[in-house]
Amino acid sequence: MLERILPGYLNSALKRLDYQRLYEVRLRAGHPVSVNYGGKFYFLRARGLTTEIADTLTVSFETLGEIAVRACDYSLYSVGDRIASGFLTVAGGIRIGLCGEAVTENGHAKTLKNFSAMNIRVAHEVGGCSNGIMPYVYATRPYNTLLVSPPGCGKTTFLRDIAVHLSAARLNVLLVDERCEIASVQKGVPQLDVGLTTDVLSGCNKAYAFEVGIRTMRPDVIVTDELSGDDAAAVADAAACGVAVVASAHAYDQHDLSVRGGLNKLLSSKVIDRFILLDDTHGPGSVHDILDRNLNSLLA
Amino acid sequence: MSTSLLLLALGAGAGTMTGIVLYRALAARKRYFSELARFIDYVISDLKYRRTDVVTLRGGFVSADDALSTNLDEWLNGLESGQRKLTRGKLKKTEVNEVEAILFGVGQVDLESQLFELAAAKEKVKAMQVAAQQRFDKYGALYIKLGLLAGLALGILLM
Repeated sequence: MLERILPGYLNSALKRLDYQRLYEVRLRAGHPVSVNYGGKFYFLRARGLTTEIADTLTVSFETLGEIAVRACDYSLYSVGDRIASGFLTVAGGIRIGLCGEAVTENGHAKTLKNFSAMNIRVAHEVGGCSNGIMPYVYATRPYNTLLVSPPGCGKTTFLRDIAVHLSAARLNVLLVDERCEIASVQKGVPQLDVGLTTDVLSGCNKAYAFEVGIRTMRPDVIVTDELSGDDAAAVADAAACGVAVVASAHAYDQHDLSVRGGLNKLLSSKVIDRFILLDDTHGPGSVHDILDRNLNSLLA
Repeated sequence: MSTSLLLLALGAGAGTMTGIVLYRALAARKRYFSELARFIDYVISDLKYRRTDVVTLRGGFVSADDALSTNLDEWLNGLESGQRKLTRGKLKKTEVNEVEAILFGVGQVDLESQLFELAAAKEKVKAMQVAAQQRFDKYGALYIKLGLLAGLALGILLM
């Protein structure tokens, strides 16, 4: 899928790498291309990776613009909302973070123009990665669960696998995929496996998705990513309706959560039954600890 | 006698056929611009509601004009290949340049700008459509009649 959006010289260089170990491709106008390969960052040369800057491949402003146009199927008008939110998604679960000049109106970002940098994140389905934590997420019923970690530690990959597990248990799963990163829906079709009994609401904010989804789809559990402070109320409401929520949040640990505006309410209200702390100690997706609602460790 | 009649008939036939060819060329231009206007209306309507990507837009539009169908396919292929040229067909050079600018401009800007550009494009196409219709009304049948007369005259000269 990267081949379709990147120029030939970058594709030729990336073909020399093991795609399964490629996590990110970072493009910065006028600067060397860097990649996250196997959890470490390297610069990209025509013949492969390097830690030196000499002979590295670069991209221009024009090339970044062309990549953006190709990424949206030559239809920039169709992805205005996503560009304003700073991202694009491409078939195959690829998400492109965008940097550039914001065009604002009444204090709100209307769009981005003159892209200066991109972070192309490559999704990898790791079937079974959540096997070890599933007993803590679902026993006789699904628990309200929050995956906590800094960026790049595998939260989204875990959420995807958890959705598959919950679906295999014949639960009705509502996947709220605000940034189209979990299921990577393209023209209504999830590009990644999220389970047979999973319904996907993508591209909309969580407050809307939770309200509409609970009312119309009657889920047993909602799976969603990247909770912000504004989402805490929606999560609490869902839990009060008897719908379990499995979500993720950016934080180093539970203490970091307590200082994040809004999310600290999830701690104090004891809505969340399980806190699963991830890190990259032994690579992305390392389980650091699992806590109950009182923040006591469940790992003996 | 029979040879003379044959020459006359052949002349009339050739002349009429020439007239019909010219008539059809005018009709083709009229049809092309009419279908192009319809395509632009279809795109505008879709963008206001569904914002479908250009590939799906093209797939959902069935044109009654083969020349426009060809141009629309060339447009999509051109987006991938970077070749921003369309087959001219019955169009004038200025007209095909205009159509290229319209089609290859779709998908390059945000929604608001796109709708603005398409509204302007619609006016241009309408003007070309009106001009083509007027030319067809004025000269269409005339070409057939003139072709017949010219053919008869040629037949008489050859007799």
